Amino acid sequence: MGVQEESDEDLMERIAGGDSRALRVLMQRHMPRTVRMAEGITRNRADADDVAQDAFLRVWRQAASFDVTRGRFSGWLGQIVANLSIDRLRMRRTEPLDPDLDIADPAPRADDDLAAAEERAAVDAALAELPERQRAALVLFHFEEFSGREAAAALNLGEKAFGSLLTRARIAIRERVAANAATRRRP
Amino acid sequence: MTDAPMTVEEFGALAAAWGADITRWPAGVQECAEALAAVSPSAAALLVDAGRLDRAIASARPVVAPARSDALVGRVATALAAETAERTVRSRWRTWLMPVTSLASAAVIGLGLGLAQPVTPPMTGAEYPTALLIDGAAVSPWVSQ
Repeated sequence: MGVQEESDEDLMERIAGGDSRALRVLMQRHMPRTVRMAEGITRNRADADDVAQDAFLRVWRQAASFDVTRGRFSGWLGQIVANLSIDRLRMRRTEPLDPDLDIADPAPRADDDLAAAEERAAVDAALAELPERQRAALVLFHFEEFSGREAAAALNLGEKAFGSLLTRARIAIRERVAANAATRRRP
Repeated sequence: MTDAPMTVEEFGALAAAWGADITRWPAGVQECAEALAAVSPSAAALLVDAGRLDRAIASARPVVAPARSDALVGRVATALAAETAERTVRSRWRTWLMPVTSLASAAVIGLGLGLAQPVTPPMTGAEYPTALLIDGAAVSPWVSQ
């Protein structure tokens, strides 16, 4: 079996032994979701790229500390990305706002009709206003389809506490989408 | 989990938290929830509503172009190569410089200590016999005779 076919966990074992080829395979496999996760939480493309890079540098440096008995690689990576993204947002709060900030583009996609585009914009706006941990909860559970237990572990929470966080986030999004729909219905 | 059947209110709270897909709810409540959804139109309506919200949230999922992802893989590889090269250079310097700097440091410390030693001034003729009586070691190689 070639490196390409090996499981994430086997690749991690190679990486812990200093195999950079294994890291490249792992990156090719997980980079899209890593960037998506980081962008979902930070809402900023440039920050997301930096987080994705830092996450894989951390994977390389801390490969020996990955413990396969405590869960899958994707859960471990999710935890790294969530922590780095939240740290970056907290750091940003202490810095003056950059006027050229590269905000993720909420422009309509080719396949959007007007109502769908408006709804997406409303969800985008609501996501941007959420506290970072609520946003991270939504990203892990809904965008990346982590199980409740995995997403809770990535945010260092119990499953019940994660459920409360997710409920608050979903209520906020629901209210925003409902307000948007009410505005649309108005003549 | 108790054996008591789930109420629609409990079901609603779970749907509000975890969405429309009961298989993604906490394992301990799934069976009761499935049973209620099968018989209660109110529970089924709550699932439809939760599903609408699930889809709205999923619509905001960022799209990552393959070119961007590939560029980032390259960026990490470059950063790692630079880090490895720097570590190699540092380790080579350490291999060659360590003995040289150790010797140089030892020489400087030795010289410094030597210069810092107080030089005992020569005794006068009157002091010498007294010193001999008190301490035979007064005749020292450090004292210029």
